[in-house]
Amino acid sequence: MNINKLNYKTLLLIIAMTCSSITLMADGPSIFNAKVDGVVLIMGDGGLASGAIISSKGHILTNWHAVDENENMEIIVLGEGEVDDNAYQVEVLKLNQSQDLALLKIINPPRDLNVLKLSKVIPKIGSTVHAIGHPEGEVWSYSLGYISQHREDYEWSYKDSDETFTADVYQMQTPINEGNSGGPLLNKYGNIIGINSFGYEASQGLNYAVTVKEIIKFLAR
Amino acid sequence: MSTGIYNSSAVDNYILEQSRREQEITRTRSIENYIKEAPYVLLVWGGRLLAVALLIMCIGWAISNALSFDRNTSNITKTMSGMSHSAGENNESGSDQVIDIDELLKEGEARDTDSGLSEFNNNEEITSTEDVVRDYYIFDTIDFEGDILDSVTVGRMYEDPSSPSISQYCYVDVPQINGIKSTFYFINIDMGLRTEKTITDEVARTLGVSSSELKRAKSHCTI
Repeated sequence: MNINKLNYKTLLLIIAMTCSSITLMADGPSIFNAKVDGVVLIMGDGGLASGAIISSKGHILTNWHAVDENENMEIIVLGEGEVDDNAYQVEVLKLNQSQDLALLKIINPPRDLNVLKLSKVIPKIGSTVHAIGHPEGEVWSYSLGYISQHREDYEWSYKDSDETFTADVYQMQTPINEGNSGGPLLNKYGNIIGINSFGYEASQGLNYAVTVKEIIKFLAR
Repeated sequence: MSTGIYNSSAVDNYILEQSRREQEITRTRSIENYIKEAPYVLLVWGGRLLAVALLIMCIGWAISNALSFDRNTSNITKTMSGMSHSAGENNESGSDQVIDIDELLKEGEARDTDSGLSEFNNNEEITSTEDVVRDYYIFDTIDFEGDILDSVTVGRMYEDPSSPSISQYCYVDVPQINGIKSTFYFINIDMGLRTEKTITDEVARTLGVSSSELKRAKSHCTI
C-alpha cells in the first residue's frame, strides 16, 4: 500500500513537471518565430536601427533619432534571398522629435508583410516583455525582460545631441543596445506595447521604451 | 464377534447445520465489509482515473505543441545573408486588446482624430480588469502667419482610444512683453457643451493683438 501511494505521488509530480515545462517552452521561441519578420532593419549613412511593420501597406514605426540625419535610408525586410532582394526604399511620413517617434512607409511594399499589432493594454510592472532588434548590428536578435516601472513625462537626451525628449516611457530590464532603437517591445501575445528607445550605458538593466499611449497619440495626430 | 452399528446421522446433520450457519455468518460479514470499504475503493479508482486523464491531457497537449512547432519550421524557413530562422504564421493575439492601426493611420492622415478614435477598435469591448490607455490629449498645432501670432492649437482629450473625445478646445498663445505667453481660448467644448469667446476690441487690446488677427486665427479652429 505504501508503494502504491508513493507511485501515485511520483506520477502526479511527473505530470505537473511535464505540464509546466511545456507551458514555459511555448513562450519566447513562439513569439520570436511568429514576430521576427515583423521587424525590419533600417540602414542609412547614419547607421543601423530597427523598425516595426504596423500595416500591410508598409507603414513602419521607429524612433525619430533613428531617422534624423540618416541619409540614403532603406529598409531590409527579413525574407528569402540576399540582402538586396529584400531592400526597399522608404519615405518619411511623420516625425515627432519630442516623442522620439517616426512613421515611415515602404515604397512598393511586398505583399506578404508580417504586420505587428498594437496592444492598448498597459503592461503591469513585472510583466514579461520581449524585444527583437539589431543590437550592435547583430541582426534580428531576441531578448527577454520585465517592465520595471512606468515613467510619465520622462525627459531624456542622447549623447552628441542637443535635442531633449519628453514622453511616457516604460522602464524595463530587457537588454537593448544601439541598433535596437526603433524596434518593437512586445507583450506576451506578441503585440507591440512600446518602441525600444534608449538606455543608460553606465547602469545595468535601465532601458526604456516609448509607450503605446505615445504611439497612439503620434499616429492619430 | 459382533459388529456394532451406530447411527451418526444426527451428529452429521448437526455438523452440517453448524457449517451452514458459519457460511452464512461469513457471507454477511463479507457484505458488511464490502459496504464499509466501498467509499475507499471508489476513491482509489477515482484517483487512478484522474491520474490517467491528466496524463492523456498532457500527452495531447505535448503532441499539439510539437505539431505546431513542426509546422512553423517546416513550412516557412527563411534565409538571408547566411542567417536562417523559422518564421511562423501570424501568432494569434490571444486575449490581448489590440488597436486597428489601419484605421488609426487613416484618421491620422485625415487629421480628423475625433471620428477616427471613435471608430477604431470598435469590435472589441474592454471586459478585463487590465489597465488600458486612457485619459490622454492630442494636440494639433496649425501654423499661422500673423503679426503677433504664429500658431493655433487644437487640443482634444480622450478617455479611451475606443471613445470619442470628451473635451476639445482651440487656443492661441500670445507672447507678452515680459516673455510669458498668455493663452486665449477661442472655443471650448466640454461634455458636448460648446463655449465660444467673443472677440471684441477690448479683448484684443488687452492681449496686444488686433481683433482682425484674432478672428483670422479663430477661423483656423477645426472644431
